Amino acid sequence: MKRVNPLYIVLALFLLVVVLFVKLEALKEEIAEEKAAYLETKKTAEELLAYKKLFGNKNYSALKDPKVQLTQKGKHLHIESKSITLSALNSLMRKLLNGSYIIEKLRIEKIDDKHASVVVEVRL
Amino acid sequence: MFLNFKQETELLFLDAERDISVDAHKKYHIVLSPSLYWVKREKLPLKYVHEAKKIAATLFEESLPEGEYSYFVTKEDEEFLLFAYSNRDILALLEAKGIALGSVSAVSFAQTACSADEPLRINDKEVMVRRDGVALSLPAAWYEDARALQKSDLQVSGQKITLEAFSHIVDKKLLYQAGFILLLLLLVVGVEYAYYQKELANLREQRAQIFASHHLKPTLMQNRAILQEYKKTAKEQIKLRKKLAGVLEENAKKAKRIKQIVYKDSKIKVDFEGGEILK
Repeated sequence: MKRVNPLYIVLALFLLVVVLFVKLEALKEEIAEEKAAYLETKKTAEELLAYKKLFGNKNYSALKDPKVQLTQKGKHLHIESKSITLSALNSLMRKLLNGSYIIEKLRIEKIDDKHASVVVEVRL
Repeated sequence: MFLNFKQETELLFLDAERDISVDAHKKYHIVLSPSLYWVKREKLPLKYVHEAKKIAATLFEESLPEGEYSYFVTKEDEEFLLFAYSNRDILALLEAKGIALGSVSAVSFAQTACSADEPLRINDKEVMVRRDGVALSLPAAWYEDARALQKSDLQVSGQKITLEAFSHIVDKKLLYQAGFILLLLLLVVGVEYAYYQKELANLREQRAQIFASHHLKPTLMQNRAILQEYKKTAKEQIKLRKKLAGVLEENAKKAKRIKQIVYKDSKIKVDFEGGEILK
């Protein structure tokens, strides 16, 4: 009885269909996960790009002023003036606050009605 | 040869009323007694055996007892020899005689496996006789001088049938239909599987492209951490600017005069003249 019984072939086909169905369902789940990861990656990448544009490539030369002393210390820019007029201070602060500089330290102290001292540390 | 794994094949005449001894180590080529099948010799306006097989069931319609039958057709000159047999009955008889299906190498009809013209006693009650070229089983009483059938009277026949062990459980037609549907299903699921695999590969490719084009860190976790850091910095810087804007506005209105502003470790402290402190 060497001929394979058709019932065995049908059973084998049925098993094959079941196995393929299970694999298909697993594949669909994998696609759903991959889609979610793709969307998250896309969103993260876009947000990162926006932040990099915001905080990166800044024009530090705009902060140059004869009344203040600018020194680079590692990854920080140190801006200091022992005595600055209020109008020059206002101009410096306007530039700092309107630009997307990352201010890490700030110290403004009134000397008299027209002068103040200022120390600012900006992250490069 | 010291070792010989090939099992011996022996011709065995199978009849319900005939005693046989079976060796489990041997393979048997079964020769079915005429009492186990029905045969018809017909002249049909057909050319091919497969055409005759299609109408075999109709030709036996009136002459067979109630039951499930399989059919076998062979052609002799211009005539067709049509056989009808019950898989179920033959399998049951094999089991009753202690012959395992695995020991059966082939099954033939006595019609083709025994060519003796003389009457041969096949059991106590019956004699196998050839009439008009058809092997028949007739009462032994009609041929008292008939000799007993010997193994040497049998020969290997090229015309063999296949016993279908499950044909009585599941209808063959239904089985083929189920097989066809399953094949179709397999094809559909297979195509769907291939499509989804391609989609998965596309998604992975697109994701890799984002990583490359945006110069991202190798893992999403690292990128998430960087983004969180950016968000935290942005939040702190906005908070600082809002607070400073408020304080400077009050100072401009001369409502409160600022003495000192200190911002350190994300904390702001404003000292006003008159001793008031804002944190």
